[in-house]
Amino acid sequence: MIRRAVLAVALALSSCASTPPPANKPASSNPSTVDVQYEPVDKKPAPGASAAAAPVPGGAAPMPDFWKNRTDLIKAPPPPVPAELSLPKVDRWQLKNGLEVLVIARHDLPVASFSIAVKAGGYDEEKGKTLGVADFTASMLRKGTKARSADEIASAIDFVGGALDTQASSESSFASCSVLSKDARLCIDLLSDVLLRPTFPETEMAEVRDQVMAALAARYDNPHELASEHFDNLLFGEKNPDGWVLMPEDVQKISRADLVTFWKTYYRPGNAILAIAGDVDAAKLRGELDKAFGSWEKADVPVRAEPRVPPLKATRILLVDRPDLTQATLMFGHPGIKHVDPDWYAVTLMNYVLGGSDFSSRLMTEVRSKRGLTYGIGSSFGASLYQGAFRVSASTKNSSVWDALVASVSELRRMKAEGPSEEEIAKGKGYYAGSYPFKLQGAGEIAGSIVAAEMHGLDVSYVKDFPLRLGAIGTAAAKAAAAKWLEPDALWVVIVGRAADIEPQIAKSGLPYERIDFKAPISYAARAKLRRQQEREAHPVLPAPK
Amino acid sequence: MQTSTPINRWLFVLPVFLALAPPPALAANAKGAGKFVVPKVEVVSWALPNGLKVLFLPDHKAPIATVQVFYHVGSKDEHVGIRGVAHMFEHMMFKGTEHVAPEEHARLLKEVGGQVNAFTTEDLTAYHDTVPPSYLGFAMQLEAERMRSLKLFPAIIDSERKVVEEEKRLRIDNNPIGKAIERFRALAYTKHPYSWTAIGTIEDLDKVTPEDCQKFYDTYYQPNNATLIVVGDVHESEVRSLADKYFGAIPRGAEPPRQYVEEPPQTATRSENMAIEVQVPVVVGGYHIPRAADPDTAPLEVLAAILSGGESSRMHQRLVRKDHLAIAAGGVTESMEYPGLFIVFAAHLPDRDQRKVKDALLDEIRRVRTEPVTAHELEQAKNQLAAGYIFGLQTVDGIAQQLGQYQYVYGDWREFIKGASRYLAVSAADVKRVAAKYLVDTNLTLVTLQPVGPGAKSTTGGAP
Repeated sequence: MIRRAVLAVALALSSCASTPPPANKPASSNPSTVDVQYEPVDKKPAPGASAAAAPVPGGAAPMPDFWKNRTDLIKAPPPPVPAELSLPKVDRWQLKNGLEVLVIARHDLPVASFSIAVKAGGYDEEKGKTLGVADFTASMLRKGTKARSADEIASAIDFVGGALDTQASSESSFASCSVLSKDARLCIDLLSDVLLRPTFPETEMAEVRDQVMAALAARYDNPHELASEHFDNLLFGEKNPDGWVLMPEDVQKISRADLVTFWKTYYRPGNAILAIAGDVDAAKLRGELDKAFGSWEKADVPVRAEPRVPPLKATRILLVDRPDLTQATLMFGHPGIKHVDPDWYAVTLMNYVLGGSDFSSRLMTEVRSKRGLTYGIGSSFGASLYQGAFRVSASTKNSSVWDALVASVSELRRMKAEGPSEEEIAKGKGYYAGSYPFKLQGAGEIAGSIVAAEMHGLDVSYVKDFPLRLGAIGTAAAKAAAAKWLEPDALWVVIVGRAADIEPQIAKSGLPYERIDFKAPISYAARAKLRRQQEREAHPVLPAPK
Repeated sequence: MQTSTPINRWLFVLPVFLALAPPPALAANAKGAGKFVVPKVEVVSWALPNGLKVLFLPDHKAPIATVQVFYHVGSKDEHVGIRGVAHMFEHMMFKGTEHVAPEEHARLLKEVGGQVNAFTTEDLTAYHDTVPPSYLGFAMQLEAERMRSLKLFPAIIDSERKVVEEEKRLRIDNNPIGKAIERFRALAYTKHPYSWTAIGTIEDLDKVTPEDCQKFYDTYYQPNNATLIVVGDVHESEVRSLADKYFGAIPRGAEPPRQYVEEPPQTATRSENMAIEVQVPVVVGGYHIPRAADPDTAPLEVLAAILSGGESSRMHQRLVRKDHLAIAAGGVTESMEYPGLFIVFAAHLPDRDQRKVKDALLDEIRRVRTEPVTAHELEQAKNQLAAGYIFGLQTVDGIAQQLGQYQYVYGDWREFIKGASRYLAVSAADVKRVAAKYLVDTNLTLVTLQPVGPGAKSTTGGAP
C-alpha cells in the first residue's frame, strides 16, 4: 500500500532513527551526495570459475592474494556484552476517558515532542469502498477545525519553527508535533484541536487527493517500490489489507462522509496512546492534558478481524517489463512471522546472518562478493502486528538476475538445512548489543519505541531488554528457527527490469511465469479483470440480424 | 526535522531538490529566537603536528560515540577526464588497506555493534563510524589505517569501477529527477567543476587508471587535508591520546592544489525542456549565488525559509494552495564552497499546464525581488532557522556531520555553533537586496521535465 512506501521513504530521508533497515536500501536519487554502505562489488565470474576463486570482470588482472594467510591483519576486539538499556523514568497515567499518557522527561535539549497513535489504519478499510480512507482522514485532520482553518494551523506551527504531522499506516494513525519546549502548549492545543474537532472541509479535499495521486503515479518511476507493491499484492492476496493496492479510482471514490465516519468510529481516547518526550514537566502536564483532551468522548471501536496470509505451495514468478531500465530489481519471499511470536528473537538473529547485516551477511558474501551476481542484496522479516512477510531484495544486471535468484535461493536452502553457526550467532548478538542504543538516542525515539511495542502487544520490557533477549538465544534455537521459518521452495518472485534481457533466462528454467508491462495494474485481480474484458472485446459477438 | 509536512510528505518525489537544501540545522541564539536557553555546544579543537584538525564534543545522552573523518576533496577537485574519481575513491576506501582486507572495514566494525557509512559531495568526502564508546579507539585505528595505507590493485579498481558505473546508472540514468539534475548542472555551469555532479560520468570512469587513483589518493588523502571529528559519550583526554596514538605517526603531506576555474558571469537565461518517461513532471530553476562563506548567504537562507518553510510559506501558498497547480514547490539555497545556486522547483500532476506552473514559480521570485517581505515572515524564518539548529543537536552523528560540513563548505566549523546570530542582523531590506541582486532572469537556468507522449520528442531552448 502506498502509505507504507511514503512512510518508509520519508523516514529514510529524514535522519530519524527508525525500525531495522529494509532488506535492501533503495538507492537515494541524490546525485550530489552519494554513500557507499550498500554498494556491492561487481565481480562477474569468468566462465568456469569456481565460486571460491576471486573472479575478475572481463578477464582483467587477477585479484590479489595480498591478504591471504596474513597474521598481522587488524582484528576486531571482543564484542560488547548484551545489557539492559538504561531507560529514563517513564511516567504513565490514564485520563478519565481512557486516553493513555506516557511521558519521558529529559532536559538536555529545549525540545519537546508529542505524538498520538490511534489504533486505526489500513487494516480498518474496506476494499472497493473505503480503500485509502485512513491516510486521507489523517491528512485532512490538519486541514481545518472548528477553531482554525488549514492556513491558520499551518501558520501557527510554522511560526515557531515546529513540525505538525498527521499520517496513517496499515496498523495505526498518527498525529505528532515537535517544537522547542517553550512552545509545548501550542502542540497540546493544535493536537487536541485537530484530533477532537476536525471539520474535514470539502474544499480542502482536492489538494490532498492531488498529492495522493502524485504519490500513486510516482510508484512507476521507482523500481524498488514497484516491485514491493507487486510482491505484497501477490503474497498477501486480495483478501488481506496488506495485499491491497491503492489505485486512483479508490482515491476518487472517497467522500467527506467516509472521512467523518472513519474519524468518528476510530478516533476515540480508549483507542489511542499519547506519548510525550523531552523538556517537559510531567506533573504540570496532568492538568493541561485534562483540559485539552478531557472532552474527547469515549466510545467502543469495532474489533478488527485478523487478516490471514494465504499459503503458498510452489514458487511463482512475475516479470514486470520496463524496457528503459538498465538494472533489474529482484524481490522474492514468502509469508513471515508476527512480531509478538516467541520465535521473533531467534528469527532476528538467524536473518542477521542470512541477509540482515550488509557486508557481513551470507547473501552478500556468497551472492555478491564471491559470485558477483548482484550489486546489493539483503533479507528481512517484517516486524508486523499480524503475520508479515519474509523478503529478499536485490539489484542486479538485467543479464544476471536469474543466476542471482538461483544463488540466493540456494543460500536459503543451506540456511534452512544447516542453520547459522555458533560464531555467526555470536557476531549477531554483539552487533545488536552494541548498536541498539543508537536508535534510542533521544527521548522521542524511546517514547516512540515503547508505543510501537505496546501497539504490537509487547511492553516496556521489550524495549529495555531486547539485546538481552537476543543474547539468550542459543545456537540450537536459531537453527530451529531457520528450519521452521524459511521456505525456499515456495516463493513469490517479482522481477522488475528489461524483459527482453530477462525473459529468456526465466524461459530456460521452464518455470511458469507471468509477464506484464510496468504500467499494468498492480493488483493481480485487476489484471485478470482487464484480461477478461480484452478477450471480450477481441471476440465480438455476431451482429444481430437486421 | 524542522521541515514541514508537505515537504516531508512528498519528499520522495523530490529527494534531489530537498537534499540540495542547506543542512537543516543552522544556528540559533537565545536573544534572537524567543525565550529559551540555547544549549551550549562546547567544541574543543586542536591540531596534530601533521596538520590533522581534531574537533571534539562530549555528549553523554546515550552510550555511543561517532568518529567521522572529513577530507577536503570532492568532485570540484576533478577535471574532465577523471569526473567521478572522488566518489569512486570513497568506494576504494572500503576495498582493502595494508592491514585490512577488502570490505573488512565494515565487517569489523559491525562485529562490535558499529554503523559505518560514507558520502561524497562536490566539496568534501566524509567517512563515519558510530560505535559503542568503548570501541572509540578501534574506530580511530581503522580510520587512521585507511588514511594513508590503501592498496590500489588494478583488479580491484576495475571491479569497483563497474560498481560505481552501475550506481550512476541507477541513480541518474534510471531516475528522471536524476537526469534532470545532471542536465541542469551542465547548463548552469559552463566552466566550473560544479557542472558535473559528484557521481561523475561513465565516459570518464571508464578511463580512470590506477595511476590516476594513486595520484588522487596521495594528493588529497593526507592528514593536513582532513578533519577528525568525535562526538559522543567519551572524554577529551581519551580522544587526545587516541588521536595521537593512531594518527600522530602519519607524516604531513604536500598541500593540495587549490586552483579552480571561475565560472563566468551568466548574461542570459538558459533553458531546456526534457521529454522523458516520468510520472510526476517537474520544473527546476537555479540562480548563481556567492560561495557559502559570503555574507549574502545568511539573507539568502532566510529568503529560502520564507519561500519554502512549511505550508504557510510563499511557494506552497501560491502554487499548491492558491493556484492548485503543484503538489510541492519551494526555493532553497544550495550553498557550496564555491559559488553555488539558489534552486527553485515545483512538481505537478501531468494534467496541469506546465507553463502556468513555471510562470507562477517565477512570479513568486519576481515578488521577492520587488517587494519587501513582511516583518512577520522575517520573524518566522528566523524562528525556523533557530529551531532547526536545536533539533539538529539531537543525535551525535548529526552534530558531527554539521561540524564537518561547516568546516569545509562554510570555511569554519564555528559558523555552525554561532546560532541564530548568523541571521539576527538580516533585515527585510537585505532579503530584497539579495533577491534583486541574484534572482534575476539573466542569471537563471531552467530545466523542465515532461512526460514523453505519443510522438513527443525532446526539445531545447526557449525563453522562460
